[in-house]
Parts: sequence; C-alpha cells; structure tokens
Amino acid sequence: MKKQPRAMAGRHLDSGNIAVAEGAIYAGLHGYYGYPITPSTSIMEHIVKRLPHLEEPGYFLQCEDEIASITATIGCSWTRKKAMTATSGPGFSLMQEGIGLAVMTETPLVLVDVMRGGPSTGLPTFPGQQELMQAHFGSHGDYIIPTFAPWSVQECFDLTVEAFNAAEALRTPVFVLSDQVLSTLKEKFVIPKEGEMEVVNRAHPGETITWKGTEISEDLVPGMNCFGEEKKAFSTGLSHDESGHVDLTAKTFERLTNRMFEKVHRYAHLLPQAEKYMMDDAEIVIVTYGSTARSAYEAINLVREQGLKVGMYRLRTIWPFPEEDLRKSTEGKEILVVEMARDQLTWPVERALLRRVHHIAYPMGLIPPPSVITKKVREIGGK
Amino acid sequence: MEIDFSKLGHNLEDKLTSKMLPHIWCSGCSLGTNLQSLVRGAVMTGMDMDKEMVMISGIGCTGRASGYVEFDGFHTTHGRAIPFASGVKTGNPNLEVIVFSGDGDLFSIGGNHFIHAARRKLDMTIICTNNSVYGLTGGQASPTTFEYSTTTTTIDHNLRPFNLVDLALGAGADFVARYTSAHFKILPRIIKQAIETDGVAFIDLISGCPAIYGKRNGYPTADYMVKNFLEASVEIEVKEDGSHLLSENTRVEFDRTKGYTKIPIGVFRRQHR
Amino acid sequence: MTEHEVSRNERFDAYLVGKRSNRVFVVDRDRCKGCRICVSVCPYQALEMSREKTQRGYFFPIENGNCTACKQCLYACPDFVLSVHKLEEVTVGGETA
Repeated sequence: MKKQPRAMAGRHLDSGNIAVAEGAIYAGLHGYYGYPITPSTSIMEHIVKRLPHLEEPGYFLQCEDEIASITATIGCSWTRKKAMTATSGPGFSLMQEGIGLAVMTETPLVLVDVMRGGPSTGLPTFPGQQELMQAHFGSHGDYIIPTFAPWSVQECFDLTVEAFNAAEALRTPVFVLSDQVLSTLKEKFVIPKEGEMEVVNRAHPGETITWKGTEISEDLVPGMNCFGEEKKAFSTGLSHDESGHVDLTAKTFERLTNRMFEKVHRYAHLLPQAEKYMMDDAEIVIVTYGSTARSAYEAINLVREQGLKVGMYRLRTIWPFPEEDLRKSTEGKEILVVEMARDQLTWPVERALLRRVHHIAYPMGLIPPPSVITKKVREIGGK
Repeated sequence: MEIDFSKLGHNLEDKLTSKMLPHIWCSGCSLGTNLQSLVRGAVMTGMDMDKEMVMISGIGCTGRASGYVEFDGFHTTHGRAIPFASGVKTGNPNLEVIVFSGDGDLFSIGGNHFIHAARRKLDMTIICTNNSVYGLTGGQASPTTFEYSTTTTTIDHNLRPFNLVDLALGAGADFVARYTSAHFKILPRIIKQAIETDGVAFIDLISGCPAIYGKRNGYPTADYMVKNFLEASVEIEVKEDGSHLLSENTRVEFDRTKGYTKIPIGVFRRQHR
Repeated sequence: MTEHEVSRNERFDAYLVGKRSNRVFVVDRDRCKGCRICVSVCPYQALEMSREKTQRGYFFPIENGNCTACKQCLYACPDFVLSVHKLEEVTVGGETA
C-alpha cells in the first residue's frame, strides 16, 4: 500500500468525526486506542485506514473496553508518543478512572467525547450535551481538564489540533466535546499544509518550550521523563513528589495539586477563546456551544430581521470556564442559555454572573430548532 | 584491614531505588523475594533495565513494587497494568514490558484484560504474585482464595478458586509457568526465559502472606511458609499426550490447617503452537 | 581481620566469612524485619536470630561462623537486607566495587 502523508492538505467534504481523526493525525498522533461506541466509532474507523499507513506508521489497537482504551492511551503517551482515544456517553463514564490517573500522572493525551443522550444507554443515535459537567467532575478528586467544544466540521479539525497542542504544552489530558450532530454532519473543511498550523511537542526534562509564542514555565509544567530515556521514569496515581515516587505527606500533595490547577489557569488565555457574534449592540445574549450554537446562529439572524438586538456568546473552551470574559462581555444584558441538557451549562454561567438567567433546556435528543429559540427570545425581548 | 561502610549495601543496590527502602511490605512477605528474583532475571537477560525495560504494576501490595526498582515504571490504577502495558508496547515496541502484579489485581478487576492480552499476543511478560488474598485492604478473599480457607470475607466457606495456569493455557498465553517464591534459585532463569519469549509470557508465582492470610490458614510464620512451599511443590512430568496440562493435574491444593498440600510447578507451555 | 571477625556501624554488621576468609557477609539492620526466612533457608545453619532488637523493633540475623558465602539467604531475603561482597571490594583503600 502506498504511504500516506500526515496532512491531507486541501478542501474536503466530510463529517465531523473524520475531521477529528484528520486533526489528530495532523497533530502527530501515534497511538489510537478505542472501543466501538455510537456515535464516536467512525473516528476509529477512519484512523485505522490512515494511521498504520503513514510514512511514520502509528499504531491502532481496538481494546476490550473503554477502561483499557484510556489506560493504554496513557501508556502510549509515556513513551513520548502522542496518543488519543474517543468515546461517547457510557464509554466516557467508564473512562473516568483512567482520566483521574492521567491527571494525577500529568499525562498528555486527547480524549474526544462525542456526546449523546443519557443517562445510561439513553439515546445512542441522537445528540445530547449532558456530559458537560462530567467532563469537569466525572472522576473523583479535584482537577481541571481543558475542554474544547467545536461547532462545525472545520472546528472539529482545528480544535483537535489545538487539543493536542494544549495537552503537550501543559502535560494534561484534554477533552474535545463533539456531539452526535457534528459526528455525522458533512460539510466543507480545509486541512492546511504540513507546518502551516503550529504543532507543539512536550518538553524533555530541563527544557522549556513555547506555545503560541508564550514560554511555558518549567516550574508549572516540568519536562516529561519518558520510558526508555536517560533517567528512571516513574509515576504513580498515588500522591507523589517530583521524581514520581510515592509521598503521602500533606505538603507534597498540596504542592502537586496546586500546580496542576495553576498550570491550566495560568495559560487559560492560550486556549481557544469564545466566539462573540453580534454582541456589540446586543441586548439579549445567547450563551451556548457545540451544534446547539448552529441553531442559535440561525435564530439570531431571524430575529435580527425583526429588530431584536440579539447576540451570541459561543463557548469554545468550556473548562476552565471563561468567567471573567463572560462577565465583562455580557454586563447589563439579558442572558439566554441554550443547551441539549436539563441544567448543566446554566451552572457555570450563573456562577460566573451571580444572577439567574433565561434557559432553554432541550434534553430530548434533538437540537433545539431555531423556532424554539426565536420564540423564547421574543418572549424575553417583549415582542 | 578495615571495612569501608560506605561501600556496603545490597549486591543489587544499583538496581534498587534506595531512597524508597525499606519497603512497605510486612515481615515475611514473599513480595520482596519475588521482586529480587525479577531483578536478577532482568539482569540475566543483559538488557538495560532503565532504557530497555518497563515494569508496570497495578494496585495492592504488589502494586508498590515498581517504585522500589530502577526499571522505568508505572503504578497504574486497580487492574489496569495490562492495558497500560499494551499502550507502552504499541507506543515503543523496542521496550521490554513486564507486568508485575497480584492475583486480585490481575484476575479479579483486571481479569478481562488478562484474557485479551493472552489472545492478542502483544509481547509482554506477566508475573502474578499469587498469595490468594487482598493484603493491602486487610485480608479479603481474592479470586484464588481456596475453597475452605478463612479470610475476612469468607468466614465459613469460599467458592471455587481460579486455576491460573489453566486459565492462561486456555486463553492462549505463549509461555506459562508456575513456581513458588521459595524457588528463588531457579526463578531468575525462568523469568529470563519469560522475558525472552515473543508473545505473552505468564508466571503464576505462588506466594505467601503469612501476616494476614497464613496466620488464619495454616502457615503462620514466614520460615514455615518457605518450607511448606518447597515440600508441597511437585515438578510436573511432561507427557506425550499432554495430560499434564489437564486442569486436575495443574490444580493447587490447599488445606487450611497445614497450608499448601500440592503445588504443581514447572513450565507448562513454552511457545504456542 | 582475624578469623570470624565482625565489624559494625549503626546500620551494618559485616562478617568475614568463606573458606578462605575472603568474603564479607553483610546484614543491613535498618531494613531487616525479622522474618527468619534467612535462618530457615541457610544450608549450613550459619544464621541465628539476635537477642536484641533493631531500632525499628525487629530481631535480626547474626552469623555464627559457619557461613560459606553461598548466597542462599541473600536470594531468599524479602527485604534486601543481606549481601555478600568480596573482601577487597569493601575494605578501606581497596579497589572499588
């Protein structure tokens, strides 16, 4: 078989899942570990066509379950290779154990969660946005994981590359929250040539790297000593000191967890920033993300024709939540949160703004149609 | 002549992470012996422990082993040593991957991973310190606890234990052996063979937990335990018709008043046909 | 060193052993947990347990003059306590190990 290039540069018409897979390969993916689950499976099916046939072939392994997938992803990452896995609802629940381990051992990896309706098996073939809180609080213990949410096929590609960069630069797992709509929706997307987009590789011990022109502090993100390299590389899910060895003292644990939070918050400004659409004169702001934003976008255009001043604050990085930015850009405006969940995005929004907001909860496995949003907006605007 | 005390230390001191010793294991625990056998086996292969080998362990007493030796290592979550090893092996196939974990970790919570690893045949060595008990949590029954033995969760009786050799043979492991921790003379050689096997090598290492399991089940002290292991061990006779591989011939027998009564030991399979 | 000579510091007991008295058998008292495995595996009955305890409260093995430096106890010891060295490698001014 002919060797394939990493970057399939050019214009493509394909689904969000394919864009995620291509984004990962563009960013330098080596190991993919997965377990079939609707609607994330097509990522895996595309990876298996591409990854083993690259000029520098990567490795694809179909694991026995999601717990094995995430743990193998961590294992691969410790050999200084870029690794990822993708899953949906129930699989994401199973992966929580491994996510905790990845956080504790500061392992760079990317996890793409293609959200569907839940709880349990729920609505496998319909979209949902009910894993927003799980992405933050799913595993036990305190932690913060950078979480990105694309709204188009192009962004599925872009944010996957960004996710790998953030993971490598900050030595942390990173989530990409896609959803069932994006996973099957086909639209145009462009893959840049190799080298056109920044691709970051993690630091060796004693080395500093730059990401988006910013030098990453070695004190916050220590260089990673991987398997097969000079010194003994060791880490554990237990509280540990800088060498990776077990140390259960309060001081060490505090230092470790503080640093884990600090590194994500200090560089939060380098994560994808929220997109503000028609916000300047808006009196009502729709706060939303993912495929729901596509509906909100359409709704805004419709009600703008009728003279209602509505804008959209579309989150691209959900965690850490851009509290400051949201507060500043929505001062004195009515807020409408739209999500395919009962009550998840409202939590961080209300916490950031310290007030109640209007809400469209649409957790029944469908994207809220623009008509639902326009109706609510008219209600709020009094028209 | 005068002894220079700064030159003293264990013969394998440069292979041990000295700052972590003494280890957390109880007096008389077999784990230390097993760990030393592993290190000696690894040294015998002539490979560089730091650059060419990775030792992965799960949770439990055995899980802590990877922190005590100068292998590159990782202490994973409960039962996930094998999937982690699969990730390492596929990430860098030049690394020799050793999974060193306990019976509860590998065969209870991680049982599914074991059979799939054996089926998949990624090159790795799996060493199970099989002491029939969950030690670190205080002595609960494990998948290899014997039928009439006492643990904190099996007061009157226990259900049938796993025969790990039978399980590994059935799942398709390429190298299957069983020894006890008291076979420290031959074990390094067996471990070397296991590491050099292409594919999944499995060693069921019958070990003792005198402090928690033994005192309730017939081997109250470590020195009795070692004698018990040697007395109960029976080297298998390899038969043409393969009858030595039958489940009833590979089963470990145990009496809760005397300790082990029969331990079939040896290498049961060398390379899968 | 004369026959069956022992030198001690706060951590180690070093015994001069072997047929030609050219080996040093070392007990690392800091690591010993007093399990008696070494005593039971010794083929020459060269070890017995001490009467006093280590700092951490365990009895530890002492060598009684029968040791041949065969290393059985070393391999059996679960706590990395015992070791056998060549005499010239551990003496002051000797070659480094």
